[in-house]
Amino acid sequence: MRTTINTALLAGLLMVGGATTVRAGVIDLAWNSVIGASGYRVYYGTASRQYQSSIDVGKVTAASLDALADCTTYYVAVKAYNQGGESAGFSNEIVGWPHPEITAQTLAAKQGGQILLEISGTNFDADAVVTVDTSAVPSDPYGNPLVEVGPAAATSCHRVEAAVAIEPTASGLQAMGLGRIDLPVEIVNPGGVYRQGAVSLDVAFEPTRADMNRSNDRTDERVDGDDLATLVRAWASAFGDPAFDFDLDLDGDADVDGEDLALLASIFGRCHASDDWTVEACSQRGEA
Amino acid sequence: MTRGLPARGPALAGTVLAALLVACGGGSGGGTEGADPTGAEKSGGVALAFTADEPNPGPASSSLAIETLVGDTAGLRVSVREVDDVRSASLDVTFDPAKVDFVDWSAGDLLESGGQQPFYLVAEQPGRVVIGVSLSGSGPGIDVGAPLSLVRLTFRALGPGSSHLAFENMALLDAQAVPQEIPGIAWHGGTLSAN
Repeated sequence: MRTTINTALLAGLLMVGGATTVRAGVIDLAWNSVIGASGYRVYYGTASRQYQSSIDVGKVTAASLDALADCTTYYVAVKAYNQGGESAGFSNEIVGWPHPEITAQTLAAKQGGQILLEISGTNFDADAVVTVDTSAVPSDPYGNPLVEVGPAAATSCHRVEAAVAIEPTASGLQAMGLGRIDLPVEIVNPGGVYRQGAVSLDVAFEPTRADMNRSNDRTDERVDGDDLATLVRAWASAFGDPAFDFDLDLDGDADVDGEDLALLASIFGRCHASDDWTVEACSQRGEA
Repeated sequence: MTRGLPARGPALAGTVLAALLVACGGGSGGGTEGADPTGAEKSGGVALAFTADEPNPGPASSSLAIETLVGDTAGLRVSVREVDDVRSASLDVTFDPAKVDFVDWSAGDLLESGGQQPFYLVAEQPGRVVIGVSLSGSGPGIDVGAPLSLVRLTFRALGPGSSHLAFENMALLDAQAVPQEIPGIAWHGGTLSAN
């Protein structure tokens, strides 16, 4: 005796996505079970209701289609089957790209820099909602975050961009500390398919910060004894001390100590030219 | 608080050497301030002499002066006289790297004279020594009367010939929160000769 499959019960087909696995070219599906079904076959293709491929997934209510072409729209439907054959009709059809994937990456940045945060990966829909989580970004003593991330948006299937400002963008502000900071990223494509990942900023010392005393042409654009003198005026001071000055706290850790002196020493005697600090640049200033 | 950078960096030819002496306890050297500004020594076949540009520096001056001449090596001091409110200094000493080699430096006694140990940063570059010396924190500067050494420098003659040792980018700095150059200082170098 054959049992008829009621395709209306397959109307619950959904495309699902979550931060589970890292695979490109994957669409995750789930559907309602059908009474009397002994299994399900997933049909898919790149044109609506014209499915070039299918796969028997057995008696489950969730499956993943993999090895799909990235950044390609797929149309997917499901049929139930039993010993009497497949249901006559398809479930509802879902449409979408394989779920997005974020490639973990570390971007170079400098204190005071303003960079374009370029997040690479795949299947970034132009209408995706991109969230860069800055909750782990340290703040200055006044509660202002030391890294600010502007609105992020997909600029292509493989790229999301956001403007990032790293303190201090002006004099008198605390500098971002040196080293790596992780920024979790979530990308939600239309339909709610999402993935989470992270990008990291590797914040380096901005040598220009060591050129603290620019009181005249002799010392401007040059890291020298004037800057040493200025730095150690605030020696051993911390935020809250009258002598403390954010501009002298080169490593952004809210005190002026040997670490700041070491940063100053690292470029002591160098001059600024062409966006770099070198000994040779001093020659261009007319030094012998 | 980190206060432990080495007093002298490793010698790396052709690179900047940033040497830091934190809270240095006095200098090596031992010359007498105000001595004859010209020295001469012959040892091991090398006759070394230092001739000051200004044999008799006046008040408000900073000049190179000889401390020791041993073999092919000359110990010089940056000698400051009759300047008030000195709390820091920034200067380069230039030389002909084909004729002389910068060997070493050591603390002076000017900024130490108030009982506090200053910070030194010394970077060696081709033909140049970049020097920073400063007292930390706030407080009055040092009023200098009789000559005192700001820093001591040792040079070695590479062979027969002479090199003028000159100051560049030099300033004595006052005790203001943002250190300012003390005006009116006369700076005098000298010539190191070997034959």
